Amino acid sequence: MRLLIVEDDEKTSGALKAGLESEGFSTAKASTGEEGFFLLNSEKFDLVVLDWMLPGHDGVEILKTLRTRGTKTPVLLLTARDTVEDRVLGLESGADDYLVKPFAFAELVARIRTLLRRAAPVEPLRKSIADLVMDLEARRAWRTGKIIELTPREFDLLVYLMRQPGQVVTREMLAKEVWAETNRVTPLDNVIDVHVTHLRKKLDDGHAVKLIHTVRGVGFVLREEART
Amino acid sequence: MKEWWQKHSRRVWLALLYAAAGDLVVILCVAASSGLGFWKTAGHQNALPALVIGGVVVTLLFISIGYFLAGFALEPMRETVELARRLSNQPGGKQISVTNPHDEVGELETFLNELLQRLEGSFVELDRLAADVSHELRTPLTAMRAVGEVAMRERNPAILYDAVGSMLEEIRRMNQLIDRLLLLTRGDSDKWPVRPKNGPVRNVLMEVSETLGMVAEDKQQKLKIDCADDLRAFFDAALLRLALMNLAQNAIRYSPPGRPIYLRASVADKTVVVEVADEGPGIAPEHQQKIFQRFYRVDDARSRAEGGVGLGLAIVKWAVERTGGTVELDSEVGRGSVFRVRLPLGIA
Repeated sequence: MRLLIVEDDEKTSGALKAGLESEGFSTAKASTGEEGFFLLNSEKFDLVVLDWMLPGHDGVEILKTLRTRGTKTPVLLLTARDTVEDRVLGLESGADDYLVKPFAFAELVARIRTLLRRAAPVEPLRKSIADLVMDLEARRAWRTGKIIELTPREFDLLVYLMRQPGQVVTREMLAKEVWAETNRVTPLDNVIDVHVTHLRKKLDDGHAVKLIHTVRGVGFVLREEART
Repeated sequence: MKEWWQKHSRRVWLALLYAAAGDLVVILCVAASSGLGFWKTAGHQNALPALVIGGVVVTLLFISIGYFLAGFALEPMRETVELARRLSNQPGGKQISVTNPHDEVGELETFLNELLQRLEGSFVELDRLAADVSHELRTPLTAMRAVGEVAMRERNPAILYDAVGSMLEEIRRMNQLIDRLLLLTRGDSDKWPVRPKNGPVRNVLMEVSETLGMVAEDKQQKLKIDCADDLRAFFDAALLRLALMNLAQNAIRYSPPGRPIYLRASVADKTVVVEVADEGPGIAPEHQQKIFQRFYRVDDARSRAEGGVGLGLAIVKWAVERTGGTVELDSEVGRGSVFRVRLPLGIA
């Protein structure tokens, strides 16, 4: 998968490039709208990460030109503007997704994967990692063949973690996706922490291999790991 | 010339008006006196040139007098504006002294004073906000800097990893602070969409209680709802939920384990009263007035340790007022606190 990053801040674009490459993507970088436009016309990309505020032609102008020319490459718009009007304007101009700065890198990766996956086949109804098995239809989960009693919220939380095994999931992502909270200021941090703690207890207590891990300052991740 | 005209046009027009009125009076006098036959008997048959010259002279005279009088009448305005301009540039809240509040200039002066006062208020508010925000941002920055500088001397990856994690935590806090602050300032400028609707209050209470149920349970607290099924109010659901979430979280956070928290709603004086009540330590009278202010904390260290940024209640007040309600605190040390939100009564 080849991504184009159009971002004028050198520090940000450098970090994004390094981070996305460590996630297994191949990337190219452009620091102005014109440069991005030139690269898009000369190379094939699977997705564009586009900053709204760029010197010269800004992101939205570039995006509109691309769309009127019939380019269908998915575009993820990055911006510091987050009023409802801005969101609407961004999506109307042809962006496939919209991420407000400053964002968590984990969220950017998750969104890129979602955009790339959209055309992919439907999700299987049974998922598993290590000795954990989930049935998404019956809404049940087992570990080493033993059923785990989960509240609906805990189940949703586990499904969300399960969809991106090994990927760090931030509290903001959980608030949005599991609690369906659209408002960034609603205080949900301790609500999320409490639910994760409970889920972890039910899932990992008494097992040598732990599945739910906290990544300090970032969020949570589901992966097999012995924890002392 | 153009500049002069722009500056003096009103004066000139007033002078011309004055001259026109004066001329009219003169013409009427002349007409009346000729009607009385005064001119004929005096033997002035061909008085037209004299009349024209006289008219022009009189008109010019009127214009000059009018110009002078208009200047005289308009001068106080200019002085007032000049004074207001000077005062608006200097802080300290000085006011224009009003000589006669009932005449035109007096009204202008009174109005300008109100403007100056509001301006001064904004200056003070802005200064306070800038100081508060700098302080709030400096705290996490200091922590990050210290952690970063110490980490730079380290070679142990586990310690480095921990240091980065700690810095990311602070960054998250700063982000939350900015998000909340932006909400408040954007709210000030009326840019947030508000869609109040007639709806059942109980649903919002249920939603809040469901979301926070487990957090309360962890402290052996129970969220008790007391609200009639058919109680309807007029409110924006997202805003009311935001306010109640903040209030209920505070109640959970500050009241001791085992004590219940009540989410009540009822009708009183043709308004819907929604209460979030706890049996916690209560809030001392000296804090009660200020508690809704931005960044005001009763217990700075404790609130920080709990992860607060000091904007929760400011957001509650903002949200409630945006949806057309009011919020007040009724608290007694040792007995607990009741936050009372009043909303317009809905239609059944």
